[in-house]
This record gives sequence, structure tokens and C-alpha cells, in this order.
Amino acid sequence: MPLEPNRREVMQRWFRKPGAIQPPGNPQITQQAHVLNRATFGADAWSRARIATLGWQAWLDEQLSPDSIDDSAMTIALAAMPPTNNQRNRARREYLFRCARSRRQLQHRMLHFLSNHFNTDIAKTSGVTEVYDTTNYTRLAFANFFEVLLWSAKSPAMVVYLDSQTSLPASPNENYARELMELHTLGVYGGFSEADVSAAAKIFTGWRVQSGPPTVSGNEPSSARFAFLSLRHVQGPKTLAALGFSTPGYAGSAGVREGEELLDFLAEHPSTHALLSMKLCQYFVADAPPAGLVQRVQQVFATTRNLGQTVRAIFYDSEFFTPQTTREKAMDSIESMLNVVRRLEVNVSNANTLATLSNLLGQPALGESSPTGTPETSAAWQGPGQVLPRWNALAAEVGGSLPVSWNTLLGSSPPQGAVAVTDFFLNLLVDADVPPATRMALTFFFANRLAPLGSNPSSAVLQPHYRDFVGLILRLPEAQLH
Amino acid sequence: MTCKCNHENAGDAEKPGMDRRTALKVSLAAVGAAALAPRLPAEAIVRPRMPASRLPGRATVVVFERGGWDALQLFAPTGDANYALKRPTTAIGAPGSGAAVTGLAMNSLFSMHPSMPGLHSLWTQPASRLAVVHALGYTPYHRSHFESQDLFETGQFGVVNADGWINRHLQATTGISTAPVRALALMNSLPRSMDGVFPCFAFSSLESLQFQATQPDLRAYLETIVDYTPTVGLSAARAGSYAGMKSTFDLIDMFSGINPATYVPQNGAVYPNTAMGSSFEQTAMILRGNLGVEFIQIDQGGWDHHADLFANIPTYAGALNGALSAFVQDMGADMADVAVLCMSEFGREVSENGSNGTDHGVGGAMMIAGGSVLGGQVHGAWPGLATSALAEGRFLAPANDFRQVILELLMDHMGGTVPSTVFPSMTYAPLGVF
Repeated sequence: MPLEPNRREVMQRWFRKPGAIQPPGNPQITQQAHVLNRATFGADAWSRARIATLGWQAWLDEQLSPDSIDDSAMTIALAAMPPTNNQRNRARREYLFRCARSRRQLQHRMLHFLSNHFNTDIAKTSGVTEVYDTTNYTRLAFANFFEVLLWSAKSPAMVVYLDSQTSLPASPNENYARELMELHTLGVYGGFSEADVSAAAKIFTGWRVQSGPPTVSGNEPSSARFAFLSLRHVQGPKTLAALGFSTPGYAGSAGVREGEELLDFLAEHPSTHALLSMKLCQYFVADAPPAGLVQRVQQVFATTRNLGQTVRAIFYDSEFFTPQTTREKAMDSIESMLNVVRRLEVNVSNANTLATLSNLLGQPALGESSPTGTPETSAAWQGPGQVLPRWNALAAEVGGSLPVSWNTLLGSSPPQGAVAVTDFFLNLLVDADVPPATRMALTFFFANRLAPLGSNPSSAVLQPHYRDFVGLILRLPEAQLH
Repeated sequence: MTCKCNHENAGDAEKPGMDRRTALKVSLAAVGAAALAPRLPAEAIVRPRMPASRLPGRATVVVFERGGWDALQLFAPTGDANYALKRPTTAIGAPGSGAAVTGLAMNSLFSMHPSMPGLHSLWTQPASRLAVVHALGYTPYHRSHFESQDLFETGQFGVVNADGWINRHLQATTGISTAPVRALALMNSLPRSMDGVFPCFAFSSLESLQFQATQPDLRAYLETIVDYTPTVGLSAARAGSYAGMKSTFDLIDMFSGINPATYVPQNGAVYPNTAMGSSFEQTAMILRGNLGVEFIQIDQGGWDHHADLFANIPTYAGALNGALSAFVQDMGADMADVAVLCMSEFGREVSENGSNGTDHGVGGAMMIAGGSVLGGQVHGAWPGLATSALAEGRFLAPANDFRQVILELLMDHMGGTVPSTVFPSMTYAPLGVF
């Protein structure tokens, strides 16, 4: 639907004015806003207030000690969800709800990273094992990498997803062995050979899941629990010649140690340190993170092997907050949805909505089918295939299945007039980080909405216009970045 | 992904948005008048074209079968004595052999998977336009999904960030078309084959190509902002966000004339109600829309069957069979202008594993339909399944290079290309598929 010609012309003239466009390259946002963009799924009121009180460094250190943060509001809200008998649905909605509502945001940013790095597809696995996965990658968010790797190898979801479950000694299944080295640790050029894949496949024979009695601890599913079946294990010595790893082979139940030792070896390998450091820097900093930063981070990772220390090094690095890194990451589709939920303080009373929206956006939660997981780079999330569902599904849901309490959001003294309202929502939704001409166009939009409403329109009269305005801002190019 | 193709970056501020719209409409009108007169570079080799039919030009549909399909199940070498020996549990039997699962006769050596009866009837009909190239691959081979998919989609070995083969062909033939969209993928992200400097596009479906908003003025404001904000000098992610949105508006406009709700397949074709059925039906709509689209890619995932072939393969083979059969029927005589290539990143290991599945292998197969394909034949050399003939004693040897089939497609069916641009270092040696 075209604008009236004169209005369009007015808008176009703004974009041609000298000074309407700021030269690129200056950070438009504060360090606190930048830290919140990368360490949370979007700045909500609580995290804004908290970081303002503590300063970004103390705030970050608090986030790195998640158990010190009271998260009872989230757990109470989760417990109050309408029940579901569908375990897959439960796993998906809990994953999204925790990411949306936990105050332990950085821990959940790591959950998002790790569950993608060690991707399993809920269509092939099961709801209970994915809940177990989510619980453990949250628990291990800042752990030593070997611990995480060891857990992933024995995760019932992983054992099923990469076919260790059906591997037999006579003809071992290579699926897990290959992706372990190619995707989880060394990388495709990380130094392993095809013969190494075959040898590693033998090492992981007998790694199974089976049912057992229920336990009281954690969420461990009694129907699918890791077990080492020595009768299904290839006996004798194995050698990964290209990598320089060998094991004499252990008899009986000790055979599981062969795999554990290989995982330890892989966790210690420089190729693994390089791969994980780079991927974490891409996730938290930029698609092409500064080389010096990557080098320093890799040094910390190789020295400590610890994810918490490594993440801390990323945020504390002198090149983390620069003109080249702010708003230089496109959000993936789940991140973009959670960003809307958090910045608008959406009251998600039924988290099924989030799972359904993730489907509509083309990134079904826990449902990526390829073992690579989804890409960490921006370009993969910026094409029409991503833009359209965000424009159509996400913005349309604001005020619908994503209810917004405008009165709460705008506070007791709401902004008056088009300029103040524009500033308010730009600050809330994109850290005020848009070109001046865009700000003018938006102001013009809202002024045109206000004009027919007379003076002092009631809040009820204004709400549909707020909704449209927020829908417009959320569709901006800048609103897809964080 | 929007390619590396901000087709409108420099001088954005001085370039009014309506000009972009107008230019688009002009070029669309030109395409409507069949503007595909070949103007190939001098070094290109141009083959004579088939007699013209109702489509404005030739088109290719690529179906990438992701996961590594088991070519030894789909096109089973039932006449090779080593086949059943190496797959005691999961071999497809020859027709009438009394095996648990028997195939459909292709010739004395091969049988087609029984879940593909529609494709089999295309195979057996007179003047068949359905062919298979078996023992297909490349050397030195890779057995990683991601590495091998990259190599299949770029055809460039040892080159980091190479452009895809479709993209390079489009670069080599910029003169022959003014169509704003020469290649598109019906999926969320651009496949590697189309990635590169030539603008290519991806979107999930025609239905998705609509701007929906609570109020109509939203689009006008957003479009003005996106069109007029200069992106010169912006960082990559910011510029990418603008470029992606410009492409989105372009695509919405360009395909607005095609209404999926009113499309009626021809010749009594009925598309199955599956993802593949929908993708093929949308492909037919786009080709019949006469917009000058030359390449459409639609992928089928899920072929990584490390376990239980008999339970898993029928689902995927059946989905492909139903959708491709309906497409061929729908296109009817126009199939002379359309070639469909179904390819996968590798075949599976010749011997089955202990899970009644198969692990990653090497030599696979490509299935080609339509165009002037010499069908009802398995093309290329067949190295056989004797252990001595296998790569490393385990894998079907990649006797036939997939790039030769693609080159033949481009040279013959698509009217010509510049081989040295598409596959540098290849010597063109067609297998005679077309």
C-alpha cells in the first residue's frame, strides 16, 4: 500500500539531508548494553536494573556464578504451566521458557551454544532424553570442557541420535566416531584420518542406553540411561595412528575406559582448543572476531580447559567492545523471538506458544536435524527465508499470543508525543541504535497516528498504535542484530 | 543467506526506491517477452537446442538428497553376485528372486527400489527420459557429509569459500538473461551451489512471500527506510541485514503474480501432500510463471541411514517417487525444457553394518529426468562390487565424475556454458547422458 506521494517525498528528503546519516564505525551503544546483548537473550527490565547497579564487570561475574542468582520466579512460573503429556512438547517449551525467563541468562546463553554444538534432533531422540540434555548442558555451562564432552558422549539423546545405540562389534557404526572428531572436537581438518574414524568407532561399541529403575536424582530418565555393554564391545587394542592415540583395550566393564581416555585425549588436543575458541568467539563477539582476541581466548581455553574462564576472557577482552563488534551479530530465529519476549516483558503464561513460534520461524527448538547444528554466522540468518517469517509471524504475535502489558511497560508517566514515544521504544527495543533518518521516519509515522486522536488520547485508544509501532520497529534491519 | 550480492549498495542514497521497483517491473516485462536470447561469451561452446516448447527457456531443478543416499538400495546391482554377499540382511532382491524385498527391473544388472513404482514406469516407457549414473563421485573423495556436500555443490577442490557451481555458471553466462531471478532455492537458506557473487535467492514457499501487517502503512515506511538508508561502509552484519530485506521486498513483488491457491496441475497430476510434493508443485508454478528462472533447488534431507534400511529407505524413496512422478506428469510436454537432477553427497559403504544400516561410503548415484535425457539406461562405467574393485576394499569406486554430468547438463540441456569457469581444471568428457 503506497504512502501518499507527498509524505513519501518528505521521508525521502530526510534520507538525503547532510548529517542524516552518521558515519559508520562509531559504537552507538554503551558497554553495558553491548554486554547485555551478548550475555542475555535480550535486555529485560531486571537485567537492565541489575547491570546499572553492579556495573558490567560485577554483573558478568555474578552471571558466571549462576547459583548465586535467585531464579525462583522462573521455576515457579514454569511449574504453573498447563500440564502436557507430550514429552517432546515439554522439552521444547521448557528449553525456550528457561532461556526467556531465567535470570541466569549467561548460563542459558551457554545452554543455547552447547545444545547446538552437541546437536541432537528431538524427532529422532525423545522428549525425556532432551529434557535431560537441557538440564545437563545448563548444569555444565561453565564446566571444564572434558566434563561436557564426556557427558555429551554418554547422553542418552546423543547415543541414540548418532547411532552408538545400534553399533555392533562385527561392523561398528561410524556415525558418532566421525561427528565426535569432525564436529564436537577437532574439526574436519583437525588431524584425524578415515582409519582413525574406524578405530574410534570400535572404541565406542557397547556405548548404549537401556532402561533401569527410576532414580531420585535430577531428571535422569529411567527409560533411557547410559550403560556400557561389554558384550557388545570390540575387544583388544585400538590405534588412531594419524592422531597418535592408542589403547591396549580393557576387558569387561573396564572397556568403557577406552572411550573415556579417547575423549580426554580429544579434549586436550590443540585442534579442539582452536575450534571451540573460534566458535565461542563467533557466538559471543562477531562472525569474523578480531584475530588478537581469538588468540588470547584460545590461550585461556588451552590453559584452563574451562568454559566459564573462557567466556569470562571473551567479555573482558579489550577488543570485545569496539565499533567493529557492536550490533555485529544477526540473531538466529530463536534468539530473535526471545529478544522480543524479554524486551517487551511479555507475560508468557503458556510456553507452548514459544515452541509453536519457533516452528513458524523455521528453527524448531531442539529440532535441527543435521549434526552440525545451526550456523553461528550472521549471513545464514539474514536472507528472505529468515526475514519473512520474522516480519510476518513474530511482529504479528505482539499483542496477540505474545501479550504485552503496555501500561506496565510504559510506566506511571508514559512518554508524551511522537518524539518521546519514538525515543522510548527505540531505546527499549534496539538500544536507540538506528540512523537519525530512520528515527525521523519513525517519529513521522507515530505523529501521523497521533494526529487524528485529539489531545490526551486514552491508553486504550493508544494501544493499537503502540502495537503497530512496535511491529514496525521490530521489523527494522537493526532489530535483527544484537 | 543472500549471497555476497548486495546488488544495490553503492550510491543507495541517491537511488530512489521507486527506481528499484520500476527497474524490476521493466525487467520482468522483458523476461515475459522471452528475453533469453543466448549471448554467450566467445569461448563458450554452444550446443544446438531442442525445438522450442511453451516455456520461455530451459530450466534445471536440482534435488540435493542430503545425508548420503544408499545408491545400492535405490538402484540395486542385483545382477552383481557380490551384492547379496556383502549385504546378507539388507540387499534388495532381483525381481522374482523370492528375497524379502525385491526390486523393479531396470536392466540385467540393476533393480530399482520397490518404493519408486512411478519412477520405474518412467524408466520403462518408450523414449524414456529417466536415467541413472551409478558409481558416481569424485577423487580424492571425502566421507564427511559436510565436506562432501561442499564439494558436490562447489565442484571446486582445495578452494576455500568457492562459489557454487550454479552461481559460477550464472557468472559465466550473464549475457543470456536479464531476468532478475535466474536461480532460487525453495528453502530457508541459500544452498552452497547458489552461493557466490551472482545474486541468487532462497525462500521457503510462495505462500511465505507476502508482507503481512496489522496496518498497510507499515510496509511503505519500512520499505522506504530499507531502500534509502545508505549501506556503503556499514559493517558486514548490518549491511547484510539491509541487503536481505531489499531482496525480500524484491521477491515479494516479483512473485506476486503467482497465486498458489489457484494453481491447477495439468494432465491430471496430483501432488502428494508431503514436503517434497509441495516443493515440486511450487517448482512447477514458478516455471510456468515465465519469470525467467533457470535453476530451482529443492532439497530432500534425512538419507543418513546408519540403521535399519528396510524401515527407513521406503519413506524417503516413496516421498521422492510420488513428488517427482507428479511433477513430470504436470509438466507434460514441457519436460523437454526441464531437467531434474537428484544427487547426494556420497553413497554408502558396500557392506552393511551391524545396525542393518550402512555407514558413509564413496561412489553413489545421480538420477536425471526430463530434458533430452537418454533414459532407461544406467550411464557410465560400472566398476563392480568385487572386493578388489572397491576403493580401500570397502567402497564403490567413484568411476564417474559428477562434474561431467553437470557440465553435460549445462553444455547440452541449458544451451552452453564456459567450462573453465564452472569447473576449472576439468576436461570436458561427456558420458552421453543428454
